[in-house]
Formats: sequence, structure tokens, C-alpha cells
Amino acid sequence: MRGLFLICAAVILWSGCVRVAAYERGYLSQMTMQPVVDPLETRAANQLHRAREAAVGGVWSPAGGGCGCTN
Amino acid sequence: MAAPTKTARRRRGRWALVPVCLVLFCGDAHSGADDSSEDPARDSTKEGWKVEEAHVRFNYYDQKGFGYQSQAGPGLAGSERLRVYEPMFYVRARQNSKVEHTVTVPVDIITSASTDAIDAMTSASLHNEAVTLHIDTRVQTTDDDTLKFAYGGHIEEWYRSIFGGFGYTRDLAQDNATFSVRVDGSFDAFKPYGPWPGGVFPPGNRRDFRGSLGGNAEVSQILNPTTWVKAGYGITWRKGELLTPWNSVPVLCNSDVTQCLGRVQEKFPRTRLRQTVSGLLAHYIPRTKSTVRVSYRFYTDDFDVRAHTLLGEVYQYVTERAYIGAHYRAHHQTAVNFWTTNLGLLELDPNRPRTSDSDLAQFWAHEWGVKVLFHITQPGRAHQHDIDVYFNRYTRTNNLSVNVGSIGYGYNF
Repeated sequence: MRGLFLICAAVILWSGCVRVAAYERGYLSQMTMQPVVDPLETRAANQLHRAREAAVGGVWSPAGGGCGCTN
Repeated sequence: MAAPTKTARRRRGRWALVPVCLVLFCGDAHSGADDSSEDPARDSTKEGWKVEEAHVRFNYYDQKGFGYQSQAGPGLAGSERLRVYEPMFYVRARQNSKVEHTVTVPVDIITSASTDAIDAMTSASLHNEAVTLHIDTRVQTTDDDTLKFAYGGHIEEWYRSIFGGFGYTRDLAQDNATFSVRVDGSFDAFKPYGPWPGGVFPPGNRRDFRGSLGGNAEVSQILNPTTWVKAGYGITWRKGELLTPWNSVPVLCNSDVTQCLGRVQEKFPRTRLRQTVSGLLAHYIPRTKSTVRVSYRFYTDDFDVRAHTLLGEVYQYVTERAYIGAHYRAHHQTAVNFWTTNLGLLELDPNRPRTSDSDLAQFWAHEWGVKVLFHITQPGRAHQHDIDVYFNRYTRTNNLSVNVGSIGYGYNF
């Protein structure tokens, strides 16, 4: 975890010098480049994993989602 | 509780009103948008409700597998057969130039193998119907500051949950980076079905409860005109009754767990602390019109679960109006430290945690999927229609597999 934190910190510090102007962000506005490409598909995938894996949490949603079985 | 009862039919009837209400809501707002479009000069200054985006989706899940927590047979590791029919609805509406709401409503209709003999009387784990209402509200207070609120509830036949949260996002360096934090909480109440004196219903109108508090921090950064990254940390603390009432644990079995003297209900500690660290990189390749996304998530908690999840996604535009998406996800987790398939005599302390839930065991999970999306109208224009279909296959090394089929439709107003 510490290594991952250091990598993230390095990326953030390094990228602090980067400035991409608004008119250069055409590619970033593509549908497939959005943080959430499809809100319902993402929600369905999260629900599939939440009900079948122990490693959930960190999202603001109810514990249930179909079976109420997430501990 | 049972699916064939009048109560259950009335509930189904009420839930059937949800999409009707959404359609009425969207229809009204859309007609309002049409009215304003007749006067472009007035439209540019008008402040009012307007639906900007709506999606509907229908998912079908077909699950097969076996787990020791299930009594559905044929062996000690009972069936986890499950079918889920899941319509979902999503609407994004703008209240004015600074306030935006999104409403998400998934409805689950589940039929499953009977995981417990209590189903002879309650059908609690045999048939299940659930609906969630999730509302997100974004308030842009300045050009760089956004407040976010999330709230909603979840209803199942035996289970109720409410949740809410608050967040703040700051845009930095001319929107080249963002920093966001949020806190959220939830509260659940449910009927503790189990081997109670005189049956499976608890005495009186007893409910068990659990709650959670969570916090998240996230940073995102544009690296260049085709790449951005995101990293986040999350922590969730849960307290209360964390077990699933009908899950059981085999007791006093032989060495290969083919014969046991009986079963007891699973038991959980009263608290759980979970932490995650995650990262995402998204990159667009202009020459081939491809998008590549890679994300990683590390999870740890005080039940000794450690999990690593890696997800890779590729989207490839094959024409201006269609793309193909594919993904692969690998997940590995260790088991909770009280997981067992054979509870011994010395472990029969009623207060000692125990579970044989296959979802909490050690396993690898692999998932792959393909998706095709068509822009029915030209991308970037008003009133854009999209339709998509996808298929996902999820398999676990501890004998579980799920096939998912989905069809979706989206409309940008």
C-alpha cells in the first residue's frame, strides 16, 4: 500500500506542471474517456461484485442491492 | 414475505409504478424542453427544470454454483442457483445552471435455490424482490467548487436500508486537476430469520440493525490531451448485526466434509473496518480511435481479507456510430479469518464468529465481457439516441459462475 501511495504521489507531483488548455481536451471529452462510461452498466457491475466478493466498501450505496447480503 | 401472498403481489404492483412515474416525469420535462426550444433567445437565459439524459437498461443474471453456507443440496455444499431480472432507470436533470440531479432506480426480481429450510414458510431466500432509489445532487457554488449530496433508500421484503452522504470537489489548475472528499453513512434494518423457538420468525416484531460510516478522498489529473489519471482512498466502518440470517455452517463433519452432524447459523463480529486504495488511467489513441482504461484496487479489512483487483477495458470505434468494448477483470481475495466448512466441537462457542459463506472464502475471480453500442443519431447532436447490448461472464475458482446479459437504451435531450 505504501508503494502505491508513493506512486500516486509521484504522478500527482509530476503532473502538476502539466497544463492542457480547454481547447485541447477534445479527446478527453469522448464518451469512453469519461470517469463513468455508462452509469447503469457501472452500477450493475458493482452490484454483481458487491454481492459475491468480500472486498467491497468505499462507495455510498446501501449494503444490499438485491440480496441484502453484504456484510 | 412469500412471493405468492397478496402482500407480495401488492408490493409488485407498487414497484411497477416506479417506471411509470419516471416516464411521466421525463415526458413532462421533455415537453418543457421542446417548448423552450421554440424560442432560442429565451432558452439561453431561462432557469428551470430540464431533463438532459435518460437511460433504461434490462439485465439478466444466471448464476450457478455451490457453497457450504447453502442448504439447497444436493450435497453439503448446497446450490447457489440464482436468476435475477433487473430493470434499471437513470435520469439526469438540471434544476438550474448550478444545480443538477441524477436519479437511479434499479429493481431486482430474484428467484434462487432455497438456501434454507425456512423457505418452506417464508420464501425469504427463495424469492426476493428489491428496489433502490439513489439520488445524487450536485451544486456548483463557484466555477471551481462543487458540493455533492447523495441520498436514498433500499427496500427488500425482509430488509430496509437508508443512506446519505455529502461531498466537496475542488477544480485546480484551470480544471487540469480535481480534488474531492466525501463522507457517507447508511443504516440497515432487517428481520433476523432463524431457528427461533416455535418457528423461524423472531418473537414480536424484532428487527436487527447495522450501520456504516465512510469517507473517501480522490484526486484526478490530466496528464496530456489524451490521458488522465485518478487515485483514491476510502475507509468504511460498519457496526451492528453483520450476518446473513439464513447462512449456515456445517458442524462436526468427517474429514472430507461429506457427512456432518448438523448446521448452525453463521456468526459475525459486531464491527468491521475496511480500507481501499485505487487508481485509474484512461488513454485515448486518436489514430485508431481507441480508448484504453486500466484500473487497480487494493482492499484490506480487520477480518484479515486482503484483495487485489485489476480491470482492463478497451473501446474501439468501428464506425462513427458504433463502438465495440471489451474488458477483463481479475480479482483475488483471502478468506475472512473465521471462515470454515467444518466447525469442530471446541469451536461451538455461541459467541465465536464463524461462516462458510463462499463469498467470503479465498478465491480468484475472473470476468470478461463484450459490449456493442450504436449511436442511432449522429454523436454530438441534440436528441441523441444510443442502444447497446453486452454479455459478461464471471467465474470464481470456488465453484461459482454467472452469465450476465444486458440491453440498454440512452437518450440525450
